[in-house]
Amino acid sequence: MREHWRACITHFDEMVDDFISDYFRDESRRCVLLAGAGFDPRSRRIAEKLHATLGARLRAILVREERADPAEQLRAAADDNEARLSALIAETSVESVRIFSSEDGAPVGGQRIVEALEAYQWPDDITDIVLDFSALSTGIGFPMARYVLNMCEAREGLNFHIMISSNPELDASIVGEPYDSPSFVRGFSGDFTATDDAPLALIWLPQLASGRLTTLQRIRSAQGDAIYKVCPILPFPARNPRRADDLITEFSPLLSDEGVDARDFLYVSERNPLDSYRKLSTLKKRYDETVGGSFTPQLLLSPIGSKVMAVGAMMAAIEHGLPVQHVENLRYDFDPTRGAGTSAPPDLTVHLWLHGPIYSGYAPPQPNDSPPTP
Amino acid sequence: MSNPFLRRATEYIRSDSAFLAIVTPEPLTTFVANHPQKSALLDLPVRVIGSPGSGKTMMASLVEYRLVEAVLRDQSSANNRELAAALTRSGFIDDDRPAVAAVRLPMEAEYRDYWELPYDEAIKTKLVLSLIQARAILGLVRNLTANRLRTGDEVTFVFRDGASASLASIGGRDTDAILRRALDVERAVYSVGASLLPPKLDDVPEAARAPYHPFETIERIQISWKGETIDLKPLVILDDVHALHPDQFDRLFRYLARREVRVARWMMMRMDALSPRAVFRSRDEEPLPGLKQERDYIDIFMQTDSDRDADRKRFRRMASAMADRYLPFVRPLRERNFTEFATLLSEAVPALSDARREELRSEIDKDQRGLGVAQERRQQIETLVANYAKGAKSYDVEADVQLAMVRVLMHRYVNRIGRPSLFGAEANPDPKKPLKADSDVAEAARLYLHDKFGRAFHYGLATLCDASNENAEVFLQLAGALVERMETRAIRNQDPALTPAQQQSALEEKGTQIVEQWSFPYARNVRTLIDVIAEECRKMSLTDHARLGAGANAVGIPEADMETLLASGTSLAETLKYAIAYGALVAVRDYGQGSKSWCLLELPGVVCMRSGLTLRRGGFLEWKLDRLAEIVGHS
Repeated sequence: MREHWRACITHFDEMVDDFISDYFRDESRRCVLLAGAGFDPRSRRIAEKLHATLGARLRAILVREERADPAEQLRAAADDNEARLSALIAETSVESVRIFSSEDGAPVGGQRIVEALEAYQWPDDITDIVLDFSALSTGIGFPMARYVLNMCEAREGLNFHIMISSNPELDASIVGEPYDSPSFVRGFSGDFTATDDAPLALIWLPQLASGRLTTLQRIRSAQGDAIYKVCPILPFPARNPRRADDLITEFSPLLSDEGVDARDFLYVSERNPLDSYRKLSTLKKRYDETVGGSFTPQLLLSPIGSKVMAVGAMMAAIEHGLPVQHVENLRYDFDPTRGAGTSAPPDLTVHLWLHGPIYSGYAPPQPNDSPPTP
Repeated sequence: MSNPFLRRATEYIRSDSAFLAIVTPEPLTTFVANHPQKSALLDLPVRVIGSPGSGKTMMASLVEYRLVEAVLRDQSSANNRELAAALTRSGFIDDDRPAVAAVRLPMEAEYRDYWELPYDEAIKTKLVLSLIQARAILGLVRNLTANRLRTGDEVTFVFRDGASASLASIGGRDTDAILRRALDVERAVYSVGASLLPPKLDDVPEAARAPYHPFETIERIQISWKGETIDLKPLVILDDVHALHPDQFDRLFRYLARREVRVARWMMMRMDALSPRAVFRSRDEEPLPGLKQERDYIDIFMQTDSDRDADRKRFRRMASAMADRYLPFVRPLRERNFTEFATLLSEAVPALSDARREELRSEIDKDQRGLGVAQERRQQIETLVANYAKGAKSYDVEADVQLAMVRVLMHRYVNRIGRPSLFGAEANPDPKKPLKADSDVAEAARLYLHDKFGRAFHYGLATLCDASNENAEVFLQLAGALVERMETRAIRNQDPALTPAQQQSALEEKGTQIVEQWSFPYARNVRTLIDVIAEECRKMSLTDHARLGAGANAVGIPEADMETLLASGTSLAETLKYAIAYGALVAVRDYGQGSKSWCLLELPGVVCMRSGLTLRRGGFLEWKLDRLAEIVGHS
């Protein structure tokens, strides 16, 4: 149990800037930033904030997620972001990660990024690792987070931060073309072993996000009759207070097919990842208490939308061994007619301090995987 | 539940009895019971190949032991008796007793992940094989005990002669011990594949590394059935093996093709797992070098390429039966006692309004004047058409269609005499080739009326079935769109039966939606190609003299050129492969016409409905390969 996660240190918006300038001012701080260097305009924001304070004390691993047949303007935007980030941060390593196997087109990105992190020569003097989720996909960001968390928990004195530059309106403009079948995110397969005496009772918690109906239908289809109940996750409170209503309308085919009613929705904050973490943890606990002994209770997460909500779900998945299923995207398009297009409101910035000596007063966590040694 | 036509049954049917109420045994009868090598289907490994929605998973689910037992236990329903008959013909039931213990294992993405482990290929294959075998054992016993007619202790495994050495590796003779061992192996292997960082080889759990070959050890399963002991042949069905890496599948398949393997094994897969040549059913294709089809393994393609007309007829029967099974799940229709889907699709001949008919007459008169056709000639043509209409099989040759037929034949007449007469209507030469009014001209006439006057063209159950290209899922989606409208009408206390115009509108909209939602590799390129083919077919189909009769809905590439392309490994070959595998095009090889051999690329029914093209086969545009490459290359 990571007891500190229920109330771990978080900052929002301007407070993130204050935290960075205050905390990283200390000359002993050496930081490695892990970030996506793709077409997403949010790729550079966290890096720029960190560099402003850290300067040469900042190193980076930039991840280029390579997918087949990218739209030309998106490739150009990604090249530009990579170039600017490399110019900004002196010691930069760029990892080009093929999301799909060149041999048979199967999704392999999760394995590849973990191999890359394992092969990276982690400097001995680092004190902080910042994982910038802003421009990373779930299939890449989640395994990275798990790998880094394991590493930090095995090594004394290392701090692990997650930062996100989130913009749900911009998210809706980025349209992915989903692969044809779902898969478990690397390192998040959960445990589906039930017994005949205690059959599996699976609740699926899909995070509803605009433009992702096909993705969720594919995940649903793959589960067949294994799903006992569907409890969609909706963003509330949210910057647009009607966002949840709009999503319910957009997803009505799926919701009516599954017999979802108003009591089945889980509302989580669009801004604070701890809200989704706490609610999922509470749900897991209550479900285990209610059906344990008669059934094998399990929650299946599909955090495919807002990064902030997804990070909270990821924390719950790590803490409780929950499986996370998603559908990788073959390619992306930026569709300015959807969402807010190019006139999106400002980003929401979030900082989450997941691990570090600051929490040494709490009991040490039980690691879920054999920790790698950098 | 909302419209059940629009969902895959396997998704929402939670109870076996509900599943049995809607499942159709037709694929089992067609592809298994009537298979020329039926007797070997439980001895040799079998690849069952079909496009998405062809019914592979439904067939695999139907033959699972627990469902076969449920069918036999309740023969009071006509539906179950029909299912039992199909299962008997397919060899799953013998003399009212189950003969096969089948279990279906979905080959999900997690199996593919094992191929990414940093181990030797032999080790990676061994891990996957152990996982499959462990899950097969657990699944078999789960199936045999699912209906609570026996417990696990009452299931006995019978081993092949000479298997005593390998018995220890599978847990011994005792069923409980065999199950415990299977569970240990499953957990051990799963932990290796699911971990974030794969363990070093020496750290792989012992249960995953040790030899484990139940498939080579177990020959039969014995259970008690109505007081007597019966033997069951175990059958493991690996569903969606196309998800495996090709090399992984090759190794797996070669293991399963070994003679030492005693359990029956079927592998369900999509066509896109095959090479372009295999998808296009090239005759001399050798997908598994060293293994010979029919000797070492058997292929079942869930789409025959021999008698397409017989396929269509068979599918019409199956689809109609399937729709009737689904209809009771639509409450507003059930409450009003509608039990037959066909009766809700009116086939009353669509008629133009008086005003539109006048407009049609004026058009034809104008054409006659413009072409310089003599009145006498026109009357001859009208007589020709009237005589045809009297003897036509179709009911849809009433006044409107006959008028439009006259128009087509007048244009053909002028074509055949060389040019419009310079002497006006007085000259009335006979055409080089006599004019003929036939069903092709009638179809061309209907197409013209649809294009010009919006007269319904696609309606009726037979059209709906034909537009589905023998794919159950497409049929259900199209039927579902119609059922939605029927439901709405029923709720409003209107007659739920849809007129041809209403059917046309719903089918056009649904066809468009289906095409827009295509999501498979190269789908964008395929959509572009389809759009160009459809547009050019449309132009040709609407020529005044209807050169291709009923019209075109395909392009033909010289057969020899196609064969070269399929072996080339280019992205065009891959694009076409996925188009065929996902039903976005239909390939017809060695189509003979005009003393040449063609490979036809036919547009699927949903595109024909969207674009107002005929569903009749045979009309095609002659294209060269360069044209295909140009369109796909620019998309």
